[in-house]
Amino acid sequence: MTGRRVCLYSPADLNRVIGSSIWVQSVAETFHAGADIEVVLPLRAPERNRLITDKIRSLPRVTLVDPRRQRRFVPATGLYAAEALDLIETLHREQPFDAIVLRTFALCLAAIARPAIRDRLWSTYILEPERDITDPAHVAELTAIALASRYVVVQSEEMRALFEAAVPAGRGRTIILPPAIPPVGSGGMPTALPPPAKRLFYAGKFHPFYPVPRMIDFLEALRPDHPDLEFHAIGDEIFRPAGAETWGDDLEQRLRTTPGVVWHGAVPRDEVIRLLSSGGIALSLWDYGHGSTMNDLVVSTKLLDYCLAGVPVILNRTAAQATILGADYPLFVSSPDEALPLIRRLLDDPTLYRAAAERCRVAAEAFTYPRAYAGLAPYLEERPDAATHLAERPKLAGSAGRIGLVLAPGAVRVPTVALEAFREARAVSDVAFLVVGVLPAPGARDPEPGRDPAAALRAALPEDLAPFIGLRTVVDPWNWWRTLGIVLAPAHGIDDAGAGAGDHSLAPDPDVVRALDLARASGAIVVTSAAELPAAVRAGAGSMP
Amino acid sequence: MEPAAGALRSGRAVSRMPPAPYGADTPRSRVVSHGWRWLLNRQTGLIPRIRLAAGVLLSTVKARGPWRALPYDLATALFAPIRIPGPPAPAIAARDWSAERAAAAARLRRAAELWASQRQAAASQADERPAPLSLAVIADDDVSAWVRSGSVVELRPEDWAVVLEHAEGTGALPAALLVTSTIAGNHGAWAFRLGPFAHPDAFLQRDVAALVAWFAGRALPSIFLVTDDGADAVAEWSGVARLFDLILAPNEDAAARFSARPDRQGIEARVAKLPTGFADIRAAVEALT
Repeated sequence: MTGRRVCLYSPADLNRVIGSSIWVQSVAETFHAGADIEVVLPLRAPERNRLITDKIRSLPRVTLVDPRRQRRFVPATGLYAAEALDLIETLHREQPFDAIVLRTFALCLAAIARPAIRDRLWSTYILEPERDITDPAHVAELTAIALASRYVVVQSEEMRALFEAAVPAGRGRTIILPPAIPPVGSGGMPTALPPPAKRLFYAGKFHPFYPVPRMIDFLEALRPDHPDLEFHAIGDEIFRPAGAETWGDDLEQRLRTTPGVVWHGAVPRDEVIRLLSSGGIALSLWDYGHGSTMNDLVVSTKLLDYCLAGVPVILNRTAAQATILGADYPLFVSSPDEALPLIRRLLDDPTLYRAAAERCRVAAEAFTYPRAYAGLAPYLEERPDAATHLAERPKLAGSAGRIGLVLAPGAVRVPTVALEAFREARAVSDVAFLVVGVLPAPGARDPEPGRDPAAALRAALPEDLAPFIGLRTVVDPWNWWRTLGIVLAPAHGIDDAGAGAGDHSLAPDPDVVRALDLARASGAIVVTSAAELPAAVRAGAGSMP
Repeated sequence: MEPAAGALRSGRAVSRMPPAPYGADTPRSRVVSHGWRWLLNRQTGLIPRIRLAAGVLLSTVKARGPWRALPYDLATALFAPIRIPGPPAPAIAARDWSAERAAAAARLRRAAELWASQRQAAASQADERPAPLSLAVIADDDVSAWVRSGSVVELRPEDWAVVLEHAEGTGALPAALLVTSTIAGNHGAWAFRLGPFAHPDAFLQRDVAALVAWFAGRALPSIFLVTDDGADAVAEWSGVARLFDLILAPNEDAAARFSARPDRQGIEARVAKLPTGFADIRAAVEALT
């Protein structure tokens, strides 16, 4: 591989220690984990402190670009989106980038109007919780971004599913880049889990979505029984919401004056992790009264930092967080108030503390910089197998018993051999279900709900099997494979009726061949002979629900 | 690096932040507080301006340039108006679902009255039993149990609209839609379209939302029966259950939590023992009146 140049820009002010600026540092380090990747990172605002930029500057293949290259008088609040894009275009003209990674919806929308940028644009995190994805105008803008981008980058499998549901144009070009953390033990950090300690931690901005006042209430409720308990708050960004002007002042006063509260202000990320490594209980609680439920799909940077430090985390049960920590993680809550009894238990039960901390540390290992880069490498390095990597998606629970059969566009019946094989499979496992997927004709629109043209194949299905056969037009193969355990290939003994009416050629349709390549990449068992199907079902029966 | 020893001293509020402007509420403390805030104000305060100028100076020295720009940059830092970002975009206004809730209540009331009158009419003719209820059903493999208690139209995602329109044309339209908290649904046909899956078919509930809307468009009620009483049942099913006119929940706590969802489109959830047939569903709906 020859060297690749990546431009990374986010309209976050790296002078402020908040999640979005930590994200920039995290992504710069992720790209830097690839050998021979050069990262150019234009700053939005002139440097006023180096809490974040010092760490980035220490990476040998990352170049920070002062915004004053674009505009002599850059106000403290930094460049506007158009100015930042001008700067990126200038840098691109000087030495072309292979990928331009831009974060936020508004910036990406502005970027797609620039031809020099759009063909190498990686539109990142454009699904924003504050925006309404059911609004047709917003969906049209998201569609425009998806169509103009090389890739759309989201942060979790759940977010990809939502994006591909809301914006069909994003199917097959949406990739995952979660926030990432340094490998455990790197940079002199201890590899051993910290011992239990009577500390509560919160790191991040102070916004009503994160109920820090409630966390201070917990401290006050627990201090009578645990007089040496402390609450360590890290961060200095206090949001002052309209309509609740005293919220910020009240919180600030409590942070300063409540006995047992230790407010550290803004500190670099490495120091946050070192603070956490002294042991304690981390709190990652959300109040949905002040934020969108789309946050359920977000991978929180602060959660990963907590996990890296090896402290147990009490957090809301969300789809993404249950995926990271496992659905049976013992410290999930459904509302902030449920955290208090869990804190009590953790303070009194070192076994639970240890078990939860170990679970968190193990979860963190999947989000290290090298692992995150490995997920991006096929796309950044433009490997020939990038398309098949897109099909490498986690199987859904319950997919083992589902058998897929792919037919070419215009198929008129389900092959008899396949039906006979399925009948035998049903004899082996009574949960076996056959999903016949018909590839769409070029240019065909997505079927309306309840009116899939593939349903026409039902007329010729045998009565005894019909209830156990689903029919659908496969408009989204990347996600279809995730629902299948076994795929029946139309070759070597399975007559390819899908090739068209009356055509019983054994030569598979090229579209079907491509689809099967994706199926193999997705980890499905591909059976090329109908005779093999019962055995494959028998082999997989143990894992069926 | 370990935090400063004082910062971890127990039992004391220790802070590295500037001294608090708070204290006894006296005229003097108010003046001090006011002055402190003025000094710290990001747009007009002296301290942020000095910090900015120091930052410009430091970054220029460390980067060894551009020296010619330094006077301008310092002047900018000290005197240029600071563009404070405006307030963040307002949160999406919570949609008012009261019209949908009223329509759901009307559909349920109408169905309850209709079913009650059918039962009374049958009772008045002693030799006739009431006509069995016909429901469109998406359920687990216990769908055969529903078949024994009434007329069932099994729906599939690929052709439910066609099937229902055919039923409508022949005068055999189901009286309501009944969906249970099923992972697979009708032998596997609805797998990954209803439950809590990270899959596009499950997100946005495109199929089931269209199905519920089809029934609502014909003034027919939709009922979601929660058969799962696990600890996470509400979290897992409230997303799809919110669409239905009536939720039958396994206990009071679950019913309250289903009802509390702000985007709930039906009436408040009701507690119902696990129905064993359509008669129980009918009774639950008639109890609403």
